[in-house]
Amino acid sequence: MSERIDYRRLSSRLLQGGIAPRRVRRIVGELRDHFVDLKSSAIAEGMNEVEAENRAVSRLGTEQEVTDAMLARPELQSWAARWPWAIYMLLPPLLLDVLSLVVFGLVFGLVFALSGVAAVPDPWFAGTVDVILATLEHGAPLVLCAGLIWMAVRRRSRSPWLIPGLISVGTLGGSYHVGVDWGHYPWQLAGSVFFLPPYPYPLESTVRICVNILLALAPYLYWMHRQTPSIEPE
Amino acid sequence: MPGSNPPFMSGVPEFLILQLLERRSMYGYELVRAIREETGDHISLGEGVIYPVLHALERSGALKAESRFVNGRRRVYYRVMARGRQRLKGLKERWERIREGVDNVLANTTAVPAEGGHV
Repeated sequence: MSERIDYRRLSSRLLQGGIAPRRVRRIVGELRDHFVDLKSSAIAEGMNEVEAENRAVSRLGTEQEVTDAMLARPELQSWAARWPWAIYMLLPPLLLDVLSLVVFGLVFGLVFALSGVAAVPDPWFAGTVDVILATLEHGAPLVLCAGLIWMAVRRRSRSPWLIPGLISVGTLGGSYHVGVDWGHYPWQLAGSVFFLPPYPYPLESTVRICVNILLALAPYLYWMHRQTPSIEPE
Repeated sequence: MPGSNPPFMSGVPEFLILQLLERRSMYGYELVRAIREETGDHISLGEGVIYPVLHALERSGALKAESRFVNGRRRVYYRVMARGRQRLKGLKERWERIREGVDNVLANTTAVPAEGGHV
């Protein structure tokens, strides 16, 4: 007789096989519903609870069959499973760039919208922007690292690209400096972004790189350590 | 109920699914029941295995999935899209060719002599 599908284990196996979490949730929901329908139909035919359950289990098929059928279709794999190097290594620096551009766009847009071209922005405005940029400078890399870890944990991913990805975001983020030079006239307004050596503040950058890498890697390594006993060999 | 017949099943579930869903949209359990009824129980699938096929067809744009509440339960209904109809047409043509070939073999009852002259 077939064994009843353990939906939690099935989810884990599909996620580890690279199927996207949303699709895994949906297919598990469909299988659960299917099982309920099979059982109800058997009860309606006059079977008792145990017989109905046994028939539903044997008709639905085994966990192995469903897993094999899903994993045999590479088109059902998520982007992160198909192109992990792009998602974990290329995307984060790109996002950091895009974020900087968006923030600069907003700052410059606001400066010209509020002050026009004839005046230097008020000190409160310049102060607020400086605070936002400092938050972005220190927070964005950590948020990106947290995002990568969340993505990997949600997908039960043990991709070899993740740790290099976290180290690269930690390094780029630690050396990441974004600032606005207000000048004395509006047309002197200038933005600056630093990513790579030579850093404007080498000591500060080195400390930030180390802190970022530590903060990024620690939770992931802890999660990996907790997961190790429950992961079955492929 | 006859056992499942995997070696002959390559491409058949996809064909049946598209053919049945072309008539009306259905959810997984309904679809499996329709396959069982309409094939006179001759084609038996591990019912859970239908979902990977449905998801793959959806991913390729042949089907569209829609979530609906029916009698207080959420059901995922699948319906055929233009790409699915096109695919179904191709599968039908392929199936006709295979059937014709097999029919020809079955119809030919004449024994063919072996190279050495023995039947």
